Amino acid sequence: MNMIKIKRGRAYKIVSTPDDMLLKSLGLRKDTKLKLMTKQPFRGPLVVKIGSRNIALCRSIASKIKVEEV
Amino acid sequence: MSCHEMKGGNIDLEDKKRILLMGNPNVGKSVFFSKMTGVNVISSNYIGTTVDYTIGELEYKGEKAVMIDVPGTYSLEATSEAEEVAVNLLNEGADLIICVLDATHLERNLDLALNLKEYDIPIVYCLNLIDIAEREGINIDIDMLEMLLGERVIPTIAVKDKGLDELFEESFKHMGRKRSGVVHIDADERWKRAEEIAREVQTNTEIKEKFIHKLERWTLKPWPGIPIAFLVLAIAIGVVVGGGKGLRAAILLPLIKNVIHPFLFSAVSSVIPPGIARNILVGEFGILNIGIEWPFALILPYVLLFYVVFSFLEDCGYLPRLGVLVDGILSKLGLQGGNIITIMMAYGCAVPAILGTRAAVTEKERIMVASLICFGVPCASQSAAFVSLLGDQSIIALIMIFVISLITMFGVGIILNKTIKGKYQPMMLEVPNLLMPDRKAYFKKLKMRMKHFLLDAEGAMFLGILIAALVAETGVLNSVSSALEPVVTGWLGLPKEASLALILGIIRRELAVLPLLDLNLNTLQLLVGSVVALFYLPCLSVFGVLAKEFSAKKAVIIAIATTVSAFIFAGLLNKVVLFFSNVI
Repeated sequence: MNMIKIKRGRAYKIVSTPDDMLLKSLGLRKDTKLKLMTKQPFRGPLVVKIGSRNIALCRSIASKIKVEEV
Repeated sequence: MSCHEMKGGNIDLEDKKRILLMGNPNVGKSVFFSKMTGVNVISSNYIGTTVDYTIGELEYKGEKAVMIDVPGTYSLEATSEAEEVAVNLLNEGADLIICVLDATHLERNLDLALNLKEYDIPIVYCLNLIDIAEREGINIDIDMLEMLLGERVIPTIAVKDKGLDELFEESFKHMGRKRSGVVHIDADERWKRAEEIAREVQTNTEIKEKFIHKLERWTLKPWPGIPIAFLVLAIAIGVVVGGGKGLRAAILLPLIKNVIHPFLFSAVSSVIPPGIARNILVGEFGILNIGIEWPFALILPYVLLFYVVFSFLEDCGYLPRLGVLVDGILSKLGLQGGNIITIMMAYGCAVPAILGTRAAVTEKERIMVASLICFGVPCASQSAAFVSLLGDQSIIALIMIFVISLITMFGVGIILNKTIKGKYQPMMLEVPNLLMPDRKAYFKKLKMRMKHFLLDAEGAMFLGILIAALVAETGVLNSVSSALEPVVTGWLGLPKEASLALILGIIRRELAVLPLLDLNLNTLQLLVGSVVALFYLPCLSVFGVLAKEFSAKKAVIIAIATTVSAFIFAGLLNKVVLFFSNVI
């Protein structure tokens, strides 16, 4: 499923990401587990939790990431 | 060193050992830098990039070396300018790399740690923030990590000076030592290796949620994050405006008016006979009169408190959270949320803020933020002047000015977003943890900012006041005022003496406000005068930095656009209000 559609309180795993070095260095890579922390208003970024880290990610990039629920 | 441009200070780089201080962004690298290097620090720019970095000298048991604070990077893939600079600095060679690792996010940091091993340079790792890692329930087996990385790993808490002695000793021991076994591995394999090492050395224990964790969550979610943001801003404004007024009224003004000025007046009067020379020194616009009162009593307290508050917010890691919260709104203007930090900086001074636009990734964002700042953001000095001018007479006018400033920023943002071609870099960032600022680093920064203000601002202000004294005392002011009368009186509805503000406003932005102080203006006139000042020319330093960072042409365009809108909007405001008050 598209990462934009993730919901709070569930755990997800990344299936595929666009080929972007910064994205990958931030830890958003295939098989990374994540949870939704919050979605910001006015179509602002998604904040996802990876381990103990919070990553803010704009919707246009999030929409290119595929995830599955685990 | 032909590809570096140095400014400020002088460090001889030849024949000295070179240490590269490296690490991910936000791992406390600059704390290491400020604790390990001496007072002699220079800022350097890598030619052809917008990336600045600092160089300092350090000494241990008589041995000397230079340390380069390399811009923080996640990897060495040269995907951003900062990474390109880091790679170039590595390729130029060094005698040692000190790689700072964040113990709270070890896995991500290990990627760079492993990447650096591909260079033939000895490395000392420091595992920093181990106290915060413990707070988070993370325990790291340092001996194991050392074994797996194959290099020294020193646990540190840089803000508390823990581990720094050992780091010094190990650094000088390893410097210049030959390192064998340079292996190149590709990124995917490196990430896998980083994951393995992290799993091997790290044990996590569940910890009870502490207040700081709650605060980290609260400040990142729209609810209650947005109300908290408003509360933080309200407190910040309260401290700066309220505290500034208190300082001014209770200490500075009485001191200057009752002690310093009478003393200087009698001292000068006893030596210099009445006349132009005496008036220029201690007369109504005398440099020893308002030349002391304006900068030190009216401006300084607010600027000081602004930096006290801003530096704190900056150092405790709150500002990136604000950037995430406002990203949705700013993206409508074609700007990434992170630019809010640069804009807030401009409420202190536009010069570092315009330099700070370098952090914006795209050229479109840079020029947009710089323009927003020049149009709509009053600097701390000018805000202080507004408070002095309007605060006592009309709080509503004071609030109006800041509302107008906000509306202008949005207006300019919308127009520029439509007219300037280019893209903006959408948000993709790791939100740093909240933490208590390090006292030493905080005061060092505050001291540097105040020093800069005193040197840069007060010099120009003194010059401005000297000109004011000269034109007022020699009668030049009268002829200029008569020439400008149609605009100043006819269109803006201000007394013709207000033209002094227009002359001095070229030099400093607060000087476009302060000459209005003793003209007994009514509320409308105060507001009109303030609107002119708000939009009017950027000050000389800002003009200079615009020309340097963008181009002389763009600087001139911005200056003309702001000045023309100053007269148009302030005049319209005057005419519209007068029209309606006549109708009613």
